[in-house]
Amino acid sequence: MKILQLPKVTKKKVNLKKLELLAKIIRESLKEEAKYLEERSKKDENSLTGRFL
Amino acid sequence: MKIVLPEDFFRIVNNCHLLLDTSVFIDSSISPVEFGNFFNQLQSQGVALVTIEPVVIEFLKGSPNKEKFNAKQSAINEITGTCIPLTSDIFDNLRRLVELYKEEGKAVSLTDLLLGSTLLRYEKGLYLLTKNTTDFPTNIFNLVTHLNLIHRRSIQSYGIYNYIK
Repeated sequence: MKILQLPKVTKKKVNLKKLELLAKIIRESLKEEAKYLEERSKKDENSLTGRFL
Repeated sequence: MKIVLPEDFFRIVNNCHLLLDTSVFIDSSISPVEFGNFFNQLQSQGVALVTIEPVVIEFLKGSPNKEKFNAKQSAINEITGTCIPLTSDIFDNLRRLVELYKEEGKAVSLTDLLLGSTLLRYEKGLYLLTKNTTDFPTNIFNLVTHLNLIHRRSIQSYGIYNYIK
């Protein structure tokens, strides 16, 4: 099997200030996503309990 | 948080393409300055930071609104140079890889299998950076080096893997 050539990548420095600003928004998002999953899992547990009542 | 690297870390990864798993983007959002500096150090050593589309989707999914979705997209673009295209060869490798995993493959996500099959396709020059060390067993992949995240009350490890027949 022929080994493919990896794509050429333009190297650019990561802008730390920009990444910090984005990270703040992403952290909020990750918290909300975790909360959603927790609530969904509770609902699933409730439906499971309901099935056996 | 502090990123602690083995002494020969940069010698090992020098001039490689480093394939980033979803955990890298999550941890970069938790500790952006530490990871941002680390990425810049890597790039100064000729390391190209890349990912694949399924990793991007795994990171984006669940975003509660457009602002948060866009912030994630911008962070990925800020960190990575490109997405490695998932060619038909990579999908062909999936079956071969699933066969190699045997019963351990049952719990491995499709994204991790695609990361693995991308390593199989490119072999030399492509390394994977992942915190999910459970799903990249060393009977299939080669653990070339590692790094540690030292937190106030815990230590987490990342593995750097490649695949050589």
